[in-house]
Amino acid sequence: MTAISASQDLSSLRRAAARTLIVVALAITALGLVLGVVNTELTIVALVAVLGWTQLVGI
Amino acid sequence: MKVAKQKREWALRISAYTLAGTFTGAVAGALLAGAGRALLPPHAGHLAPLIGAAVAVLTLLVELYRPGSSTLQVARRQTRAHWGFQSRHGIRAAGLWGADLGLLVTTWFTFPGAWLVIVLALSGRSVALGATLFAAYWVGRALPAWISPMLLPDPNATVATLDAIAAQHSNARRIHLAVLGLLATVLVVGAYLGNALQ
Repeated sequence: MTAISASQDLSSLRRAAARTLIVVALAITALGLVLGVVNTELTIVALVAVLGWTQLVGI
Repeated sequence: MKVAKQKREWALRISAYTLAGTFTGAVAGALLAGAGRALLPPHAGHLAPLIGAAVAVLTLLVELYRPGSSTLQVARRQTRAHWGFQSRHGIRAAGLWGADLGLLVTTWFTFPGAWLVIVLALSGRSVALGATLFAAYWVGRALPAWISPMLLPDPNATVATLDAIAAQHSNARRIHLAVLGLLATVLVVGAYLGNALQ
């Protein structure tokens, strides 16, 4: 019973990590694309920040 | 009382980690841009978006066909784990850790997009842009350290949470490659419109 519960906890933790990874990447990308209306360099800077964000496996 | 003290200590460590990396990253990006300004001809700045787009496509293709290719590494090293054990002051160890990672070129690349940041800083020939690009990359990289505690279901689940994050490697890689493609597109469109990295 405990093993099943631990497995469910790990599974939900992985889903939460995946959701966070995608939501943050999408939020920064969307912000960058909106800022691109003002200045293309801001889009590039925001997308570069997403490149850094995806290195999260290295923390 | 004890929990409040631990939270304060955590915030100080993560702040030291983030600020030290932002500083060293900005300095490294500025130095690289300065080198580009000194070494590359003035008209190279106009070609920067197209050079960047070409590097984005190239790194994307290399990562697609040779995942984790070791040929794309600048430095084959990681941060010194012993800093965390030797230093009596956690804040100093966190700062050293951030300062080392912020430099970008001194540690192993998980994905090859770091090359694009280096090439854009160098070919852009703008010290402010070079510093901003390196700092932005670092802030994105440091962000998980701020956000991951929110994933913790309880204070004893640190290892499980780190495992859950590590399990996202393939998702992170997919997003990284998609963003490289998007950056290549933005750079080409910017070059066409004449308003990117000018």
